[in-house]
This record gives sequence, C-alpha cells and structure tokens, in this order.
Amino acid sequence: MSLAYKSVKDHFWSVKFIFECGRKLELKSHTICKAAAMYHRFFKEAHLRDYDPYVIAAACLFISGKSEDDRAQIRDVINVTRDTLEPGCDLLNLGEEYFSYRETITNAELLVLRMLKFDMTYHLPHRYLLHYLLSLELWAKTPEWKKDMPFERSCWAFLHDFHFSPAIVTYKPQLIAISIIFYALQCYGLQIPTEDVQWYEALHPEATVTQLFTIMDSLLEVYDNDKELSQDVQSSLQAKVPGF
Amino acid sequence: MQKGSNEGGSSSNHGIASGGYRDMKYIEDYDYKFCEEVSKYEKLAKIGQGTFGEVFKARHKKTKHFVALKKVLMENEKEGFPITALREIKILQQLHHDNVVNLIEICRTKATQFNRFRSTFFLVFDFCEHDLAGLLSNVNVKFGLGEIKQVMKQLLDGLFYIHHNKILHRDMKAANILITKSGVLKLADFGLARAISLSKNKNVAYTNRVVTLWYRPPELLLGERSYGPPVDMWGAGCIMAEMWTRTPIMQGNTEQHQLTLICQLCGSITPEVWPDVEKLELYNKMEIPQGQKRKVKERLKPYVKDQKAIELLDKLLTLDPSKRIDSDNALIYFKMNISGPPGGMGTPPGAYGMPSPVNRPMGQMPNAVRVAASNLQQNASIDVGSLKAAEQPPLKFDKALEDFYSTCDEMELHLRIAQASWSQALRSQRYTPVPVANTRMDTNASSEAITYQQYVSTVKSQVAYIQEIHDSLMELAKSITSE
Repeated sequence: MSLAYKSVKDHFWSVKFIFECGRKLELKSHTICKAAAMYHRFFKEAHLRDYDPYVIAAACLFISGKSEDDRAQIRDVINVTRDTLEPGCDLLNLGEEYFSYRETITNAELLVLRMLKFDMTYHLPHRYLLHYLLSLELWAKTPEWKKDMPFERSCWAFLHDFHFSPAIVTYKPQLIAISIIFYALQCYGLQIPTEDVQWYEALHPEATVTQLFTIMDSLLEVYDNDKELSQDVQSSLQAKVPGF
Repeated sequence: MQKGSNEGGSSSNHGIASGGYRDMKYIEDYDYKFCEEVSKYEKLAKIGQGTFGEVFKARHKKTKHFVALKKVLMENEKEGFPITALREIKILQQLHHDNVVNLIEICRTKATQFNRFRSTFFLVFDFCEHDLAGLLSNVNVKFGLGEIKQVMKQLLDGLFYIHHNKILHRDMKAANILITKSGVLKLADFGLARAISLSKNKNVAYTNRVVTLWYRPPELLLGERSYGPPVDMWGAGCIMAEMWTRTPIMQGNTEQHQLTLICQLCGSITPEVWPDVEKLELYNKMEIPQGQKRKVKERLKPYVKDQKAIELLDKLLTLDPSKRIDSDNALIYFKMNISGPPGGMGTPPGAYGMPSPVNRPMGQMPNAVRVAASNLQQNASIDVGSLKAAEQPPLKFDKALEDFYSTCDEMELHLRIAQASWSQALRSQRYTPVPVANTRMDTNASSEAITYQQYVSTVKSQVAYIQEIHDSLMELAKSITSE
C-alpha cells in the first residue's frame, strides 16, 4: 500500500501518512491525532492544489510532537517520512540533501504555524469521549456493554478513524464525542435507559438528533472513501504491475 | 514529500519546499492574513532580555496602545521554531487571569531576500510599567506592609491559577514579576514553563536544570526529576523575603554553594526532616552541611516585623517539597491571618493597598475623597457665583477641580481593586473554612483571626461604600460641569 502515497494527492491519504509515520516515530496517539487535526485546520484555510500535502503532513507531525512534549527529532521525522514515501531508500547522511529536507520542513512548520495563527489550544474530542463514557457508565449503572462487547474500544476506534475526515475540525469536539457514542450504540443495538431526558441532550445542550446524524454521515463517508480509494489503488496497481 | 530542488515530480513543488530563492518569491508577496506584521507597532526602546530573546517596548501606531514585543530568536535553531517559544505560546494561550501576563498575538516581520525569507517572530504582550526586581533595587520606592501583602496575595493568586491549570512556571524570580502602573501584578516569562501531570505516577522525568540558581529549590539542586508545583512555591518564598531585604536572600555562585546557603538558612537536609531525600540522585554526590539549625525566623526577624508574615515565609521555605505549603493553603493562610481587615470602615486593610511606587498612606483613601469632595463643593458653591459674574474662573476653583479629578482617578483605581478582591472572594468560595475552629492557623491569636464569611462581608461592604462615594462624586462632577 505504501507504494501508493506518491501517486495520490488526497487528504485521506495524507492522514493515513500521518498515522503511519506517527506510529513509526513512536509518538503517542493523541500527538498523532493532534497532528491530523492540525493538518485539517491548515487545509481549511489553504487549497490542496497549492501545497504538497506530505510536506504539510510532516510539518504537522513535527509541530504536534513539539507542542505535546512528545518530541520527535527533525532528523527522525525526515528519515521516517522519506522512507514511508519511498520505501527502502537509504538513511540520509548530513549532507546537502538532508539540509534541503530540513529547510523544507522548518519552512513548512512556520507556514503552518502562521496559517493557524499560532493557536495550539485546539482540544481533541478524546477528553470528552472519555468523560462521557464514564458518565454513561454511571448513568446506566450496570451497562450491557460491560458484558462481552468491545463497545468502548469501538468508540475509540471510530474516533480514531474520524480523524481521516476534515469534519473532525468543523464540529465541536463535544458533539463529535457524543455522535461517536451514538453511532457505536446503534452498531451494537444498545440502548441507554431514558426517563425524561435523552442521554445526549443531558451531556450537551446542542446535541440534537439532526446534528448527531450530520456528524455520523461524515464518519460514514470516511469508510466509503476508504473503500473507493483502495479499489482505485488496486486497479492502478494491477495496470502497472503485471500479475498483481 | 518532495525535495525543493527536485524536478517537479507528480506532486506540486511550491515555495515552501526549500532550495532556490526563485521559488521563494511568493513568500515575499504572501500576505498571511492570520499573522499580522509587526510594523503596525512602533518600537520605542529595548527593555530587556527574555529567556529566548530580546524584549522591546512598542506602541500600536493606530490605537496608541503600549505593548511589549518579545523577539523569538531563530538563529542556530536546528530544530525549527524553538520549542521553548512554542511552549510559551501554547501555555499563555490557555491562561487567562488578571495576574498572568496577557499575550495579545504573534507578529512577524516581512520575509524578504534580505533576511533569507525568514520572518522574525514577536510575541506581543500588554505592556507593564515595572518589574519587581527594578522596584526593589530602587531605594526611592518604599514598600509598606500593605503593599507587600498586596503583592504577595496577587502572586499567590497567580500561582494558584497556573498550578490549578497544571502549569509549572519554573522561573520564579523578582525580575519575572511585572507590575502595572495601576498596581496589578503579572507573572511573566513562561519561557521555561511546562505542563505537568499531577497524577502520582512517578515515571515522569522533567529536566532539573531550571529556575535561576538563587531561587532554585533544594529538590532540584539534589537532582529530583519528578517535581511539581512546590518548586514555584520556594521561589515565591524567596521573593516574599526579598520584599523586605530588598536583595535576593540566597545568592549562591554554584549549585553546591547554593545548597550550602539553603542549609545555613533552613537547617541541614536530613532524612529526618525530609523523608526519602536520600533517594535523590545527587544526595550523596553533593556536600550537605551537617548540624545546621533552622533559623529562617531568626534571620528574617530584623527585616520582617510582622509575625504572621514570618510564619508564612517559614512555611514557604520548607525543605521537604511535600511539606512545603501549596498556593491554595498559602492563600487560605493569607485570608485567615494576613489580609483580613483589622478594623472597620475608614481603615481599609491591605486588600486596598496598591503596590504603587511611592509609599501611600493606606487607610486614608475614603476620607481623602470626602475631604476633596467637600472642598470642591464649598469652592464650587462659592465660586460658581463669581464664575458667572467674572469671565475668568478664579484660580482657587481651578485648583480644587484639578484636585477633585485626580482624586476621582485615584478612587476609580481603588474601586477597581476593591471589586477585584470582591470577585476574587466570590470565586474562591471553596476556601470557606468548615468548621471554622479547625482551620484557624494560630489559636492564640483567635481574636485576630477572622472567618471567611467575615472577610467576604467586609470586602462586600467596602465595595458598596466606595461605589457609593464614587457615584455621588460622579453626580457632583456632572452637576458642576453642566453649570
């Protein structure tokens, strides 16, 4: 799959790239998610045709690592991103090529920071998801999902996947967290016992069913995208590589 | 990812990809709509040196608002934008408090070929007129007990706020305490600050090479790497003592010397006074003076006349960080024992005090206003008549008016401070001592100790009182000007 990166220019693949490099750099999950969110925030203001998405993606990882104190050295970032784009290439020596890459990343870093107005206070939906899951556990007293359903893990997985969508930065993190729980409940056919107020209304006043469905649509789009893109890549690979 | 000098390739290859300056042309013309140019400020003077760059005083060309510009040093930065600057920005964006310096925005210079298309960045802060180190070194500036109390209360408020937000300052010193001309204290220079985890997880390892040596707490000198808010409280203690001594109390030349000075003041560091100290990395490597007695109180007595203040200093300069008083308890102590109004109306306590550059007689403010107002009223009633008769207003009236306005200004200030302490009191209801008897710090002086409720009601009535005078004065001013 990694062969495909250079042939596509698409946010979905850039985020995939961020996650892959982030894992290789051994960054914490929330650092990687922040980098993905930062990437989306950048392209909310800029257009994909104007920038190399992988340079921006690498810069986002680099900034996120610094601001979360989950530090990746610039040399590691360069080597990992380069290897991910062109698997099997040699490690760079401290030569002209390396310095050229370094300047590219540091310039892109400043570009991203300026575009984001140096605002790094963006909150991930993670904290809200955790908080809401704990609250619902108390609400439902002995929730069904505690039995033998990977309900909570699915929530986290959905949230992780949601970072592939630019919608991750368009909606309030609180609402995203609620939508994710809402979706996961439906997946497992679970219900939260209700007396007079719905659980989501209780968690956030803006959480209306319409709003939740809109956000869920964006989440489902991610999975549609995934299918389409892998098919595209497969067919293009089949055309290029005989016997694939 | 494309390298700058690469031949195009399938992905676009724009200016941000490095390489030839011809690619960079667009950077020069690019208008970052989200990051304004620093040229909207007019630089006036260099006022200091921060952790990562120079600081300038400047003024907004249009609004005439004074600001401080802190330059981000970018030379020799192999790792891109300095992480210290990034940390400071991130932390300051999270903190919004009266006693924390306010970051307005980040500005940049224009990228041109003369600076190799590298903008310089500036952090733009509200301008503060004074810093505590400057005020303390100026012999003409007198600090009375009222002012010291006010400074300390604001300092503790600020520390409580940042610690509550899981931020360590890590560079407490008098030079980093700013004071505006209206007497509001601001914690500044978060260049060494960082976010911390408050969980009991001992796996964290922060660098211990922080805090200016003279204000560095013993645990850092002994190599502790999982420290917390107590490191700032030690600094607060050093600063508090310095308010009286006017010079840093422990001026070591080396880390070893500093540790020796600490032992000479606070007594020898032993596992008896500080359990588990022997587990610290440098406990056996540093030379720790033995047999020293703790003489914090004795040594500070000649300077500090106030017994309660010495008690607090003693609690702040505690060797064992786990026993050192935290900002929350220091504030409670403050409210219970120090800042409580000793008298009734007309003798406002330290709560009113302003750390103004000149020693202002505290407690005479409302009377002064009354006198000024009645003077004005008399003069006005006499002179308004002659004003109508003669074209020129008599000198006497002018003088009275001038006095009146300056008193009004001053009073507005007092009003603001009183309101601030009132809202502070409201916000911090969690200090409510329950039950009252147990939280009295000093049982012998129970007559002096006041309850939280008493404190609140006193502040409340004082606010109302000042508000009342203020309103009547304003009405009076209106009636005079309309005449």
